Amino acid sequence: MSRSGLWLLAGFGLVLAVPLQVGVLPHLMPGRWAPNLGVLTVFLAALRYGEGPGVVFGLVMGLLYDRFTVGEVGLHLLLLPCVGAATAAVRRLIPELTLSGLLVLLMVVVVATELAAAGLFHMAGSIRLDGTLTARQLLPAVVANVLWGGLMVLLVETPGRLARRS
Amino acid sequence: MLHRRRRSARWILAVLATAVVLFFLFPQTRNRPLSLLEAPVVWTASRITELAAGVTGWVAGTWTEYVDLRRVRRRADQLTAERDALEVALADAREQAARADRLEALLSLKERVERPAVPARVLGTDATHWFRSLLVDRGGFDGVTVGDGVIAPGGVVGRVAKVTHTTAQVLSLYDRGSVIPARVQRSRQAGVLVGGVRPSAVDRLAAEEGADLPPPEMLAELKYLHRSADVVVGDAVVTSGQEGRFPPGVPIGTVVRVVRTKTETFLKVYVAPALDFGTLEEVLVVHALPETPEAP
Repeated sequence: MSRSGLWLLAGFGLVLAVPLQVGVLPHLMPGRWAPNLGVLTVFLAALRYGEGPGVVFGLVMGLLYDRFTVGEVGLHLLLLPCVGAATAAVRRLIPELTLSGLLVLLMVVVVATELAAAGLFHMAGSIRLDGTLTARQLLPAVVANVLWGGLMVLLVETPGRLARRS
Repeated sequence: MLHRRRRSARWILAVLATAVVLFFLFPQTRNRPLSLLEAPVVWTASRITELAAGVTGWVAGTWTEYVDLRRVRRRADQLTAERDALEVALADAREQAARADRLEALLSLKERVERPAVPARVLGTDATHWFRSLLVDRGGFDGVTVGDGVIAPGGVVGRVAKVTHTTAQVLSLYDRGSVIPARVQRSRQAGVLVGGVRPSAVDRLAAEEGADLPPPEMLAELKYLHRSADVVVGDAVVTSGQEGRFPPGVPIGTVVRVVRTKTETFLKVYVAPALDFGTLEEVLVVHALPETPEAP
């Protein structure tokens, strides 16, 4: 993808994602059913542009997300660069991932991120992990992120694939 | 030839002139019955006149109707546009009225609180789904500090957990980190309201008793009430004001379940908060009372 695409994604991630997440999505869909735009943006950046942009996006989005949550400062700062690095590493190891493979990767990343966040918040004492709570929180979040993220992946990946095939 | 024609024309004119003169000189002739020769001529002429009048009237009517139709259509378009504009204005006016009502209630609450307080607008919620917090548009520049109580006309919202210069993050009383001194309004039994009720406990309770409880994420627990305490389902819970961050008597919610066991010293009292956090738009951030200097 071109450099302008990177700037577009950066603009969306840095300028729009957090205001949308904090101020708009809660009005459109219940909290747990709202996608985590931070994770999805970092995932897309890492998928398209590799480790460098993935980790940088993760750092910046992590800072922003830590700023707008009452949870411990630094948790997202730690978590989101890892999302970027892991996604980019998988993409580098398996360069010819099919669309369904990308969706599976997205699902794995989302579940792992949510579990890691839950574990870290639990260790920090901010939340109390409980089987019911975790299932109630995780399931809608995973479904929402996979659906919205899948849509974003399809939008980003399909044109390039179609062009290559033709 | 030409000469003959002129002569006959003169004759015709003379006859016509004579006829006109006779017609006006002898008006009584108008009242006489028509002769056999006159009758068909007059009848035909009148039918033709009627027909012409009818056609003219029809054409004129159709044209007028067409013009009127165009005018009506234009007017209808204009009225539709005006109605749309008025509907928008009405919605706007209703919104303004609702906002005015809310602000009036907030102002009245501020006057009742009798301690330093600053009104704030709700900007959004927490960035993650793990916490239930609100972002408000007042921060350190407005004197907001961590721990300040946040209330709304309907009841307690929570307390300030994070502050920047211009914004603050308010931890709702549902959240696990929330601790608010409270009491049962009827019996004056005091305890501490803690958020973050364990969902499995509530689910188990609902399954055992078949009770219709609100979802666990919309419950808080009133702790440290002795098992002999006088508290029943339906009791109102209000702030006790003991800590100084919340004024006393602000509604918190209603008791929805009381669990008494012989083995435990304290009751488990579940409280459903009075406020719907999803609809909050303005809140009041209450500062702690300034410490009074000790008398020398």
